[in-house]
Amino acid sequence: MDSISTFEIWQVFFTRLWPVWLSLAITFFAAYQWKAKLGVIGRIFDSPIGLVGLFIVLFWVFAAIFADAIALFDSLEQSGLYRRKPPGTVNSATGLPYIFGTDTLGRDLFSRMIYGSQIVLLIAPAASLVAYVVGITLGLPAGYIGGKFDTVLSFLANLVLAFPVILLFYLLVAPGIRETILPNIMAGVFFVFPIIFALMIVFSRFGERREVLIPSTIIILIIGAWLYSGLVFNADPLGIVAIDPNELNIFAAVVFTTSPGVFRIVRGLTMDIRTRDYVAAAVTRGESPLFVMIWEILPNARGPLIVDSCLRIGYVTILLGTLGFFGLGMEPESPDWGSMINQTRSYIRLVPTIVLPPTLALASFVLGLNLLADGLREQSLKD
Amino acid sequence: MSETILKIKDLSISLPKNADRKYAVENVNLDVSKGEILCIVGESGSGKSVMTSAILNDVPDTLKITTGNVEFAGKDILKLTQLELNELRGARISMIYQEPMAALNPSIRVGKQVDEVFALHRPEIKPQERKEETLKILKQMKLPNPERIYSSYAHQVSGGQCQRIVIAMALACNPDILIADEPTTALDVTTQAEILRLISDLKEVYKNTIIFITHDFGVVTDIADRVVVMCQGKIIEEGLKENVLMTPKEPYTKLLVDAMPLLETTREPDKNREDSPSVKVDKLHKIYKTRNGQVHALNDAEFVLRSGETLGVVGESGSGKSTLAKTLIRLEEPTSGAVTISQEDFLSLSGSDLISSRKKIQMIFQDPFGSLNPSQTVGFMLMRGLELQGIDKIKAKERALELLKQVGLGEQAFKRKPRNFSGGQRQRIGIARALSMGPDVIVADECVSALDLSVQKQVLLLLNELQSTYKMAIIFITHDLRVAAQVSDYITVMEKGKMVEFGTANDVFNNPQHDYTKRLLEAAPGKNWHPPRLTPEEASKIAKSLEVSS
Amino acid sequence: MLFFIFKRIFVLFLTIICLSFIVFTLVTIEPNLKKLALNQANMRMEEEAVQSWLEKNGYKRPLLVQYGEWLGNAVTGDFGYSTHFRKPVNEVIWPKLGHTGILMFWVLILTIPIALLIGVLSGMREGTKTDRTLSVFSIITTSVPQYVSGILFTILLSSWLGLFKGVAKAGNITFENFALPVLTIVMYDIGYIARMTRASMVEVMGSQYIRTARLKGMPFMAVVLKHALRNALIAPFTVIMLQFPWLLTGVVIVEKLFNYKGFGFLLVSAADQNDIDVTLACGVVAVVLVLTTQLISDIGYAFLNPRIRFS
Repeated sequence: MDSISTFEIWQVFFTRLWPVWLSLAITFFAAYQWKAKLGVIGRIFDSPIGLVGLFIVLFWVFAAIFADAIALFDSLEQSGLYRRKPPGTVNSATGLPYIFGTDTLGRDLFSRMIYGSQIVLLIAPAASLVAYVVGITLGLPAGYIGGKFDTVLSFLANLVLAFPVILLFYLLVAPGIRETILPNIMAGVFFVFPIIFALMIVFSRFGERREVLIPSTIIILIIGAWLYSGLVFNADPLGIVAIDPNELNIFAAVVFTTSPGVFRIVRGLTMDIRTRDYVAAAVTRGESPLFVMIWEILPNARGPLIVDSCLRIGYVTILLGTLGFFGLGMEPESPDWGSMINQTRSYIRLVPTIVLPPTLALASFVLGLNLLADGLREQSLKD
Repeated sequence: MSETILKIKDLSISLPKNADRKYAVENVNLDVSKGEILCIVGESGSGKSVMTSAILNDVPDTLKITTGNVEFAGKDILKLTQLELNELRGARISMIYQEPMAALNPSIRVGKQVDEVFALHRPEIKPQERKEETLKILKQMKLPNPERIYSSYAHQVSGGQCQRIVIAMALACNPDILIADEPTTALDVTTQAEILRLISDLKEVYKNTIIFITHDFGVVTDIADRVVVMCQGKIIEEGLKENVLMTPKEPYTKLLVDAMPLLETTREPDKNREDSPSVKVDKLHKIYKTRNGQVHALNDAEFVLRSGETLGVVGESGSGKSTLAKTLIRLEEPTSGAVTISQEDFLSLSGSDLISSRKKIQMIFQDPFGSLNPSQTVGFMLMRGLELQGIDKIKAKERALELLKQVGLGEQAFKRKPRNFSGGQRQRIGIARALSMGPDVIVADECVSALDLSVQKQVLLLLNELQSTYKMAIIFITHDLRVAAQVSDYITVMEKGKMVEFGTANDVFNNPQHDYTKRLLEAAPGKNWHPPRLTPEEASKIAKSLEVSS
Repeated sequence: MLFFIFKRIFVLFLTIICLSFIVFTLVTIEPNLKKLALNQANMRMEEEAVQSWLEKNGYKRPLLVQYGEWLGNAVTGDFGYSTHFRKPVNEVIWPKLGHTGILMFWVLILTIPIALLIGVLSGMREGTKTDRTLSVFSIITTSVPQYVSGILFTILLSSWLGLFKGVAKAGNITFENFALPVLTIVMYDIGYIARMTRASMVEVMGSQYIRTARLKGMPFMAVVLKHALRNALIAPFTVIMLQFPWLLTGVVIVEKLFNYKGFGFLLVSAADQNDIDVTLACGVVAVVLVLTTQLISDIGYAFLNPRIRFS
């Protein structure tokens, strides 16, 4: 079998990634020009650590976007001939090199790694976002109003957080579960929160003004119901919004394990901010608690929450990887990094590099997020 | 003229890149004579703290000493080795500063921290004897029960006692110079008087030189020999106390001297008014439940105030004045009592009735940096209040701009966020915000305490002006009798939750009934001082020429 | 104070009951029971045979009855019977817990001193090169989950350099066996604790009482050792205690990765095989450990902080 040299491997690597390099260059250049307008995000340029982090994160974002143009092979395409081949082996039929080698079913590791980024970049931020909405919708009232509501919710949050995560996953994402309606129930509960949150925003701002309130509520409910039916019940009348039941299951489990952490943080921030004088000023003005929570407290929790969100997406990525590692994640064919690690690790002795692409991909992405979070934290402290 | 003990020559200390000026301290020259009490006066940002930190070569890391030397005992302090510097600090030059409780390590018993000074600088005292020496010096600080204090932690001891302990540490080795950076600013007035007396008494015993930083000219009158005035990092004027305070030469000094509130009343109310009061408080109580029982924070508060009148509520920490403010405005619910605002029973309201009546009583807060929501524009804050009253958007904007003009801010303020404004400007915004609700009563909770003197005067003038326009009743809470004198018709003095004195400002000042009031009057700094005053026109002319922003 | 502890213990029991009930419910849902029956009896049974097997073994009774029975037994220390190992649960779970305990012991002995040292050194002089390097190092280690670092170490140290064993045998405590698993867990945990310690140290070093100590003429190292440390280390202590849930997860991953037959491995295989009693027992033990460390953390904080202890 033909193979290409190490030098050529890296050559191919860098050239295939040209869409990514181009996009990165454009983005950084544009961001630098409009630095002043972007506020905290613009100040990232003052922090070298943050910049490195941003670079890495955006690298994977663009890799996910341009995956089709970058990959050399299809992510599912197996090959009986080229199994567990070392990096650089060339597929004589197509003349294309498996630059990072192949796995035990003959699939190209490089291409699967690139396609894997799509999965991570779709699920991790989305799951984090939903977890944030849940955490904020519950954490704000718990911190501001307190009382029994807070006691019960805090108990529930501690309950979930005390649970060993792995056990939780085994229980929630096991194959058996999918045959029940449990995932749908969980997803059903979680997807209600964005709707509630949107309504909270509308009611708090326009509470007195019927003319704006009623139309907005109706619009939110319609859009909400549409997305909801599509995602949760797979019954979208328009047929656009749908999600694979397996992915839904994972999504729900991840949101379930992440929300209590967000809840805790938001609650803590709320309890801190509510002692500020400007909150007292709003109360003495006659503002409703809803207004105070959404418009006085939440905007000022922005800084720490943005930093936390970066860390949390990284944490969710690790969780997804953990799921894959235990074989609980996506279907075995999927190029999800965690599953890839799980499937390739038995062959380390034969071909040590077989496990490196997903491993390094996952580590670099999480590292990028952590560096970015650190940079943002440094900058927001100077605010 | 005694010998010079400390000589600061051509000292310049630069600020980091993004600061609003280049130097914290610029080309400063200062001679300190042995045995004198030198007061350094200046407003915030004047560089006085930075300059004195440089004397011990303890300038913050972000600042850099670019030129100059500090000559003491034949050497330049700035060029000493770390070892020599450690020998100097605490032994020949000591420093105490503002927050006494924060200056002590919360995890080490207080007595041991004083022992440390002996361990560092008096090796001839054996370890077993150190405790004795510490107890001796604690007694000298007039601390009751030194044994108990020795084994206490910082949080178990009061603020005034903490400061005495800190002074004990500073004087333990009989230093030549004691630097005191606003040591009494965080303390109650009566405690402040005690500490000041202690410092001057000790000076008689130890015969040390004292460099005393303060922003309060009253304190200067009471203790200083010489005065140095600083502004924007430069020394503006220096000289003997009498000269600088009675015949200031520089415009800035004149402005500062003029801004100093005196213990003289300025207003006299009409005692024979019979119109219905704006606010009437009856037997107001607030009891807090703590782990060890109860705290009766507000005990039987009662008063009546009519439109256009101001009640000054004076008290030290723990007096209940903040509790009074919070319960009046129902930020916290009182335990019992009645509050009537414009003939409406305020306490019994709830739900939407309460919300619509809240506009009648509004509050101005103490901390200019915490009282405005950093994420909202000024315009939003003002318009929100107007919108809540049902005023439509266009009229609301007009009114908001009008309010901004009335408090002395321009139209551009409308679109900007609080971080673009100075402390004094933020307080003006706070006043505008309170006014936007069209209240009958305003509660001003220490609203000038965090401001510089010159700015403080401007804000007080503004309040008086606005009151004559809008005729609201103002409940003005402060810990400083002199400030209360500037704005009050009536004054009440609070102690431990009770209103122990009530009367017109003149009556309370000239004929105090209660012991506590007499003590407060006695403790007020600078009470025997009658400096020259400027007319308002002169004052604003000088302010403009100096471009002093407020 | 005592009241506080009692309240927490009450919450602990409440939590255990809620959690065990939830686990019980999830573990006994229809598809899982089917899998169990097929596993235990005959992989090719028909639906009827499955149902009758379940009926015979008491799995068809009302949920609360089954749960009540389990709870009653558990309270007396009888955790039931393992369908996978065919032994009473108590004979299975405690030895494995011991194996994991040894692993944890070595992890903690290494992690805590190193992490604290890194944190103190970088927080002591904020902004210097030492600080920056150590901080970046901490960030890198927190970004690399155990299944990644474990694999990388295996490749590096086991396959390439042939130094350590890639698979660890429990009960055989040799340096070779243990080095990689311990190293993997330690790597991940050091980062977080070091960062919290650094943050605490930076805050303390900027406080007024440190300035007082300095202006008394105290040398820098004396200031750090005598004044700063005792205040700066309070927060990390609570953090270390609260790290326990993550430590547990890490242990599970590492044990699976290196085939170390300890508690984590047991938990995973029990859940996989749907061994109900073992799963429940493991869940309970894990929760008790987590909540106990939380309680220790809170009590410790109140104890170490003089402001709370003497108030």
